[in-house]
Amino acid sequence: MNGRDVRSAGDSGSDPRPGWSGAVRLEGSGKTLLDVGRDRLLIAASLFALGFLILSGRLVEVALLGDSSASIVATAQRGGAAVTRMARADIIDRNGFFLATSLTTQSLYADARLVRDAAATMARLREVLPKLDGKTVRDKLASGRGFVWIRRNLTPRQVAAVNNLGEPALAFLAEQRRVYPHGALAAHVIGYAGIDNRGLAGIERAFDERLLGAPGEPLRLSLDLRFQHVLREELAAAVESFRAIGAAGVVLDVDTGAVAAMVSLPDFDPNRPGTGDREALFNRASLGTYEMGSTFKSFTVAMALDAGAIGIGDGYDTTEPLRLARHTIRDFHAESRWLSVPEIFIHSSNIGAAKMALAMGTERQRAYLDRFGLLGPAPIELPEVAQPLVPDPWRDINTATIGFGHGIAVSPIQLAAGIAALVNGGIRHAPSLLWRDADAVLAGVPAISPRTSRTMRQLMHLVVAHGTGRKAATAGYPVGGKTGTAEKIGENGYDRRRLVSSFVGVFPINRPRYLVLVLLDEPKGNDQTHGYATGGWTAAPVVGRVIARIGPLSGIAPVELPEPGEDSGTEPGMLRVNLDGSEIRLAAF
Amino acid sequence: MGLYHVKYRVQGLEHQLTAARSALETEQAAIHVLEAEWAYLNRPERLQALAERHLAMTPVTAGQIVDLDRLPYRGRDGDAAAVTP
Repeated sequence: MNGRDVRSAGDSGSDPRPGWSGAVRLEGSGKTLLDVGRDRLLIAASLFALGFLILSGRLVEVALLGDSSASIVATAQRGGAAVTRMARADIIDRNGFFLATSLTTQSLYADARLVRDAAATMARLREVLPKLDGKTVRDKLASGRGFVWIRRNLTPRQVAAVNNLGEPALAFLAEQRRVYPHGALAAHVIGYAGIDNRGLAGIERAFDERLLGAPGEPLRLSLDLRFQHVLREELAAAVESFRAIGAAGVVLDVDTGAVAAMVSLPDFDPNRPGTGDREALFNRASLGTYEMGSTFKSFTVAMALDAGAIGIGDGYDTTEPLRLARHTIRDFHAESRWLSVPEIFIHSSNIGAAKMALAMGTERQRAYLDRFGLLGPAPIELPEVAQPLVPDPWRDINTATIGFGHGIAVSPIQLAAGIAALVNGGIRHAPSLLWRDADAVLAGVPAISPRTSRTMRQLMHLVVAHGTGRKAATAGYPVGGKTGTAEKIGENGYDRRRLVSSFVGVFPINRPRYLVLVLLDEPKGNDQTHGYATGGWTAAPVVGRVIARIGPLSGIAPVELPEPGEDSGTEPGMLRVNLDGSEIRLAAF
Repeated sequence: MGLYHVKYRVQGLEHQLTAARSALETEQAAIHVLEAEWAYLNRPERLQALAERHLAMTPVTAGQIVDLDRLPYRGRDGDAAAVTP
């Protein structure tokens, strides 16, 4: 082997180092040089390889795993945006119309540290927002604090005008503002929320946690906007024509206790609750308590019949005023003769009702009133609920006066729920403002027997057909009801000129669906009513008009019932009663 | 290279998604405002005033609702024949 010998690659037969086949091989000094060169090349190559390896490793890491942090940011943004979009759930009526919703508005604030000249800034602000109170705003601008509110909830036009001022100290913050599209229409039921989106009254307050907790799901109420509008409009017309100081009205589904409409007048605009006076913020329908007067005779008659204390054919002598422990009970529409139970009811005899109540006795009267839900606050979903005023101690004289609705004061919603229990077959349902599907209606409590309930329907029909409630009669929708007129307590006992006149009507009376209660606070008689301000003259016609308008909306088919007393065949359940000298027969519904 | 390609495609889609989402939110907010406006314009008192002013219609009364059975029977030859029970 010599140094000049260069073997070809193919010559592997004599190669002393197997595995080096095909490589160029040199001998001697050239070989050393080449070896060194090759070693260096190898080192460099492996360094490069390592470098690329790290690079590609990092590449893989960035490409496959690098997304995670970015996606977290994106999710956070999405969540944040959803929260600012809806701070409070909408409130809708039974048909899905908005009663309350939230809109995003811009609120103006100032960084007082950036204000150079408070007076000049103030002057420029006043040009675009003329209603600002000069002094307080100037003080705020001069305060040097980093954040002072100037004005909340500006209109887009105002925002643009303020931006055009180009004042660096002024800036906007997006805020949620509660909006009530219908204004005063259901103000007392819905209530209102404050500027910080916390409910302060009504449903807004009662369901504050729910509305804030699930802002995406609207809260559905049992109110029907159309019924609400009809009731409010008719009540407002009555308040005006009888110069009443206020009014309350309720439309109740007698089978479920669902409140379809609830109005209290005077009312207020929940978009600007601060502008209403205290009187306007007061919910007469649930927070006001009134001595109801004769409407209570429905309870007296119902409990006396149900307990068997009297029969429908019995009656009492009402010729003499009833004297009881220094008190004298007289009749308003004095008949001064022996009156049968239906006569006592339809002529609204206080003496007869008092005697009936005394026949029941205090204990039984109390037990029944409790069953009708009249001794505790109404279990309705409002924070503004009145505790009824009941006598303590409960003496015989109280039992007698409660018989005709004096000496006990309840709220209109309570009265409505109690009367509903008398006509719906005897089941008392708690009045409720929340919408419930037909299969989720809360079970009621039996209050009176279905038989007594039917008699009550017949008697209430008689009141509208022959008695004090004639002005509530409505074509197509047979109404049953009871009038009530109570004197308010003045400085020296009861005041004859200050009345609470009411009418509670149920339709269709043969198969009750809705109850309409109208109560007028201190109505004054006018020419049309010949100066009378009693329930039969003032409240009954309002109920009649409300029924005539909501009847066709309610999907109830109109019917014409035979007049009570007309021969209605010999159906079982037909009732014979003595009425004003003649025996008449009541239709069996 | 393939990884880069995929990654940039994904990023592009993410951007589109974010843009679409924010557009969606803007639209939803606008819809919400319009719904409130719609509710405001549909106030029963306003509709009632408009209907009284522009339409020659009155509220439905019970007399206008009739059972199908009580409608007069129309005879076969097209004459309106009175109901005979």
